Amino acid sequence: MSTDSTSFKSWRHDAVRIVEELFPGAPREHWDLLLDLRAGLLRGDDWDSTLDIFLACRERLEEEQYLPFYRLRRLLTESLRLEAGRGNVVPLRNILMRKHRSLADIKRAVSREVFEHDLDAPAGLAGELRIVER
Amino acid sequence: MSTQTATKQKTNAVVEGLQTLLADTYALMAQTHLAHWNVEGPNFFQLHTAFQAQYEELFAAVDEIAERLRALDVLAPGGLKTLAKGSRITELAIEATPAKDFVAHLVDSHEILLGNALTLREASEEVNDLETQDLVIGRIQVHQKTLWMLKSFLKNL
Repeated sequence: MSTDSTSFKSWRHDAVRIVEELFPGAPREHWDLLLDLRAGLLRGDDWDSTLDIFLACRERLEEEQYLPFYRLRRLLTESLRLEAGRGNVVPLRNILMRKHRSLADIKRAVSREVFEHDLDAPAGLAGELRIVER
Repeated sequence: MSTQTATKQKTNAVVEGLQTLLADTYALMAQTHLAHWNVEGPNFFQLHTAFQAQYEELFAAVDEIAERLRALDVLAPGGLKTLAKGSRITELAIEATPAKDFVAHLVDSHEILLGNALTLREASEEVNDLETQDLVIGRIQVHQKTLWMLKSFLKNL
């Protein structure tokens, strides 16, 4: 696990704190998802999965908790990026402003956009997309 | 440390606090003005009007804070670059932005300013600078009230 005191970045600490503050206002049936999001942020070793869980939490809770999800979105867009193969890097800022429901949705949309702008890009680009920490 | 040196350091904390309050207020005014111009959507009229009232209040506050610095015989900092350096308030990107994001960004900006204002209130109390303390308490009240309004807008009841 990459969460020792030297490698645990402050943005992840801030994000974990925001997730923890979501619990009292969230229905109990969503607590497992929030726990998974918290664990993903703490581990910091699988950003594809963590972003997918963030999107699932957002879909269920953002309407009632806009401010914490705005803050989480800002932290994620400042700290993560989407690598789209062959050196393409797609900023997450605009992508997360849209209401994608899962990482698979994002990958399909980005793959389509990259393909439209780069005719040499492989049609199966979605499989090459991955979220990495900056 | 002599009593005189300790008092000077505490007075410096008040001056630095006022300079930060000035920079934060100016930065917040600019961000609120930007929100006033660029907000879009079904709540346009409501937010456009509210943001105008807020940046006009902040404009008057900038003058009051700068003149308090002059009353302490300190030159007031000015100019966009100088003031931007003095504040931790971030700038929104110039792009289509959901109305709720403008409000959320202003909440975060008011909270940064409020944190610094609370520190300044303590510093001015320590040196018995009641005039600065009075000014800062007034500013704290304004920002707490604005935060209440902005956060209320984001609630979905």
